[in-house]
Amino acid sequence: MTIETKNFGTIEFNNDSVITFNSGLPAFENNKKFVIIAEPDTDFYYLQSVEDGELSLVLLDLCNLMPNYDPLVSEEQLSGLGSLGNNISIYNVCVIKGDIQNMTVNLMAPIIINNDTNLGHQVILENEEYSVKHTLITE
Amino acid sequence: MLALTRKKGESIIIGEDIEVVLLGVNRDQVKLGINAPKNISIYRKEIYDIIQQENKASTNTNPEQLKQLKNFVKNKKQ
Repeated sequence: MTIETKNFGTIEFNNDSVITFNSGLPAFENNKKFVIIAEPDTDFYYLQSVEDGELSLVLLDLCNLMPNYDPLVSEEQLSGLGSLGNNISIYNVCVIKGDIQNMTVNLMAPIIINNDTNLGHQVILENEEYSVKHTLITE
Repeated sequence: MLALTRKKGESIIIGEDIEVVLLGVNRDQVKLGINAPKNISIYRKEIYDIIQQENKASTNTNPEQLKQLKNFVKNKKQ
Protein backbone atom coordinates (compact mmCIF):
# COMPACT_ATOMS: atom_id res chain seq x y z
CA MET A 1 0.00 0.00 0.00
CA THR A 2 1.08 3.60 -0.42
CA ILE A 3 0.31 6.90 1.23
CA GLU A 4 1.19 10.45 0.30
CA THR A 5 3.01 12.05 3.23
CA LYS A 6 3.94 15.61 4.07
CA ASN A 7 7.55 14.89 5.00
CA PHE A 8 8.56 11.83 3.00
CA GLY A 9 6.63 12.03 -0.24
CA THR A 10 4.82 8.86 -1.26
CA ILE A 11 5.79 5.97 0.93
CA GLU A 12 5.12 2.31 0.39
CA PHE A 13 4.37 -0.03 3.23
CA ASN A 14 2.93 -3.44 3.77
CA ASN A 15 0.42 -4.49 6.37
CA ASP A 16 3.01 -6.44 8.35
CA SER A 17 4.85 -3.26 9.22
CA VAL A 18 1.80 -1.36 10.46
CA ILE A 19 1.73 -0.80 14.22
CA THR A 20 -1.68 -0.43 15.78
CA PHE A 21 -2.22 1.92 18.72
CA ASN A 22 -5.65 0.89 19.92
CA SER A 23 -6.00 3.98 22.11
CA GLY A 24 -4.36 6.26 19.57
CA LEU A 25 -1.81 8.74 20.92
CA PRO A 26 -2.58 11.62 23.27
CA ALA A 27 -3.67 14.50 21.00
CA PHE A 28 -4.23 12.03 18.14
CA GLU A 29 -6.66 9.66 19.75
CA ASN A 30 -8.33 8.79 16.45
CA ASN A 31 -5.14 7.83 14.65
CA LYS A 32 -4.49 4.19 15.34
CA LYS A 33 -2.24 2.97 12.52
CA PHE A 34 1.37 3.99 12.08
CA VAL A 35 4.59 2.85 10.49
CA ILE A 36 8.09 3.52 11.79
CA ILE A 37 10.53 5.12 9.38
CA ALA A 38 14.18 5.00 10.41
CA GLU A 39 16.49 7.94 9.78
CA PRO A 40 19.58 6.10 8.50
CA ASP A 41 22.72 6.16 10.66
CA THR A 42 20.99 7.83 13.57
CA ASP A 43 18.91 6.88 16.58
CA PHE A 44 16.03 8.91 15.17
CA TYR A 45 12.82 7.53 13.74
CA TYR A 46 9.53 8.90 12.49
CA LEU A 47 6.19 7.60 13.57
CA GLN A 48 4.18 8.17 10.40
CA SER A 49 0.42 7.76 10.42
CA VAL A 50 -0.84 5.63 7.54
CA GLU A 51 -4.30 7.16 7.93
CA ASP A 52 -3.15 10.79 7.76
CA GLY A 53 -0.17 11.65 5.58
CA GLU A 54 0.24 14.99 7.37
CA LEU A 55 0.84 13.34 10.71
CA SER A 56 4.28 12.20 11.79
CA LEU A 57 6.10 12.45 15.09
CA VAL A 58 9.84 12.39 15.69
CA LEU A 59 11.06 9.57 17.89
CA LEU A 60 14.39 8.84 19.47
CA ASP A 61 15.72 5.50 20.63
CA LEU A 62 17.60 6.36 23.81
CA CYS A 63 19.57 3.09 24.09
CA ASN A 64 22.80 4.78 23.00
CA LEU A 65 22.29 8.35 24.12
CA MET A 66 20.86 7.60 27.55
CA PRO A 67 21.69 4.01 28.45
CA ASN A 68 20.53 4.51 32.04
CA TYR A 69 16.99 5.41 31.02
CA ASP A 70 14.85 3.01 33.00
CA PRO A 71 11.12 3.51 32.60
CA LEU A 72 8.90 1.99 35.28
CA VAL A 73 5.85 0.48 33.64
CA SER A 74 3.14 -1.58 35.27
CA GLU A 75 1.73 -4.76 33.81
CA GLU A 76 -1.69 -3.10 33.49
CA GLN A 77 -0.24 -0.35 31.32
CA LEU A 78 1.01 -2.94 28.85
CA SER A 79 -2.03 -5.19 28.95
CA GLY A 80 -3.20 -3.87 25.61
CA LEU A 81 -0.06 -5.01 23.81
CA GLY A 82 -0.81 -8.72 23.71
CA SER A 83 1.49 -11.36 25.09
CA LEU A 84 4.88 -9.85 25.83
CA GLY A 85 8.12 -11.54 24.81
CA ASN A 86 11.52 -9.91 24.60
CA ASN A 87 10.84 -8.25 21.30
CA ILE A 88 9.87 -4.83 22.61
CA SER A 89 10.93 -1.41 21.36
CA ILE A 90 10.90 1.79 23.36
CA TYR A 91 10.96 5.21 21.71
CA ASN A 92 10.66 8.72 23.10
CA VAL A 93 8.94 11.65 21.41
CA CYS A 94 11.19 14.56 20.44
CA VAL A 95 10.31 18.19 20.02
CA ILE A 96 12.53 20.59 18.11
CA LYS A 97 11.52 24.22 18.37
CA GLY A 98 13.61 26.54 16.25
CA ASP A 99 17.26 25.89 16.95
CA ILE A 100 18.25 22.24 17.26
CA GLN A 101 20.02 23.01 20.53
CA ASN A 102 16.56 23.40 21.99
CA MET A 103 15.53 19.85 21.22
CA THR A 104 13.70 18.20 24.08
CA VAL A 105 12.77 14.56 24.64
CA ASN A 106 9.70 13.40 26.46
CA LEU A 107 11.04 10.92 29.00
CA MET A 108 7.79 10.71 30.91
CA ALA A 109 5.70 9.18 28.15
CA PRO A 110 7.63 6.58 26.13
CA ILE A 111 6.07 4.80 23.19
CA ILE A 112 6.25 1.07 23.74
CA ILE A 113 5.84 -1.35 20.87
CA ASN A 114 5.45 -5.09 21.07
CA ASN A 115 7.11 -6.23 17.85
CA ASP A 116 5.58 -9.71 18.17
CA THR A 117 2.04 -8.37 17.90
CA ASN A 118 2.67 -4.99 16.21
CA LEU A 119 0.71 -3.30 18.96
CA GLY A 120 1.86 -0.02 20.49
CA HIS A 121 0.93 2.26 23.35
CA GLN A 122 2.19 5.55 24.70
CA VAL A 123 2.59 4.99 28.41
CA ILE A 124 2.72 7.69 31.05
CA LEU A 125 5.31 6.65 33.64
CA GLU A 126 5.02 6.96 37.36
CA ASN A 127 8.76 7.75 37.60
CA GLU A 128 8.89 11.24 39.04
CA GLU A 129 12.44 11.90 37.92
CA TYR A 130 11.59 11.84 34.22
CA SER A 131 10.65 15.14 32.66
CA VAL A 132 8.33 15.76 29.74
CA LYS A 133 10.84 18.22 28.31
CA HIS A 134 14.25 16.74 28.93
CA THR A 135 17.08 18.67 27.30
CA LEU A 136 19.39 16.21 25.64
CA ILE A 137 21.93 18.66 24.33
CA THR A 138 23.45 20.49 27.27
CA GLU A 139 26.23 22.48 25.67
CA MET B 1 -21.34 19.07 34.18
CA LEU B 2 -23.04 16.56 36.42
CA ALA B 3 -22.22 17.17 40.09
CA LEU B 4 -22.84 14.47 42.69
CA THR B 5 -22.23 14.60 46.40
CA ARG B 6 -20.58 11.51 47.86
CA LYS B 7 -19.41 10.54 51.34
CA LYS B 8 -16.19 8.71 52.15
CA GLY B 9 -16.50 5.08 51.08
CA GLU B 10 -19.28 5.77 48.60
CA SER B 11 -18.80 5.45 44.89
CA ILE B 12 -20.25 6.19 41.50
CA ILE B 13 -20.53 3.95 38.47
CA ILE B 14 -19.76 5.25 34.97
CA GLY B 15 -21.20 3.11 32.22
CA GLU B 16 -21.31 -0.55 33.18
CA ASP B 17 -17.84 -1.25 34.36
CA ILE B 18 -16.10 1.83 35.72
CA GLU B 19 -16.38 2.53 39.43
CA VAL B 20 -14.93 5.59 41.12
CA VAL B 21 -14.69 5.27 44.90
CA LEU B 22 -14.15 8.19 47.25
CA LEU B 23 -11.44 6.75 49.49
CA GLY B 24 -10.80 9.73 51.68
CA VAL B 25 -10.80 13.48 52.15
CA ASN B 26 -8.07 15.57 53.72
CA ARG B 27 -8.58 19.35 53.64
CA ASP B 28 -8.61 20.25 49.94
CA GLN B 29 -7.36 16.85 48.76
CA VAL B 30 -9.57 13.97 47.76
CA LYS B 31 -8.31 10.44 47.27
CA LEU B 32 -10.08 8.46 44.56
CA GLY B 33 -9.96 4.76 43.81
CA ILE B 34 -10.87 3.63 40.33
CA ASN B 35 -11.96 0.17 39.27
CA ALA B 36 -11.98 -0.09 35.50
CA PRO B 37 -11.26 -2.65 32.79
CA LYS B 38 -7.56 -2.93 31.99
CA ASN B 39 -7.97 -1.46 28.53
CA ILE B 40 -9.21 1.84 29.95
CA SER B 41 -6.37 4.32 30.38
CA ILE B 42 -6.55 6.58 33.40
CA TYR B 43 -4.45 9.72 33.60
CA ARG B 44 -4.05 12.77 35.76
CA LYS B 45 -5.51 15.38 33.48
CA GLU B 46 -2.78 18.01 33.78
CA ILE B 47 -0.20 15.38 32.80
CA TYR B 48 -2.29 14.10 29.90
CA ASP B 49 -2.59 17.71 28.65
CA ILE B 50 1.19 18.16 28.66
CA ILE B 51 1.75 14.88 26.80
CA GLN B 52 -0.81 16.00 24.20
CA GLN B 53 1.06 19.30 23.78
CA GLU B 54 4.40 17.54 23.32
CA ASN B 55 2.99 15.09 20.78
CA LYS B 56 1.47 17.96 18.81
CA ALA B 57 4.71 19.93 18.96
CA SER B 58 6.65 16.91 17.69
CA THR B 59 4.57 16.84 14.51
CA ASN B 60 5.76 20.36 13.67
CA THR B 61 9.35 19.24 13.18
CA ASN B 62 10.45 19.69 9.60
CA PRO B 63 12.95 17.43 7.82
CA GLU B 64 15.41 20.33 7.54
CA GLN B 65 15.65 20.60 11.32
CA LEU B 66 16.11 16.90 11.58
CA LYS B 67 18.91 16.92 9.07
CA GLN B 68 20.73 19.51 11.16
CA LEU B 69 20.11 17.50 14.26
CA LYS B 70 21.38 14.36 12.62
CA ASN B 71 24.71 15.98 11.84
CA PHE B 72 24.89 17.52 15.27
CA VAL B 73 24.36 14.24 17.06
CA LYS B 74 26.85 12.52 14.79
CA ASN B 75 29.50 15.11 15.60
CA LYS B 76 28.83 14.76 19.30
CA LYS B 77 29.35 11.03 19.13
CA GLN B 78 32.75 11.27 17.49
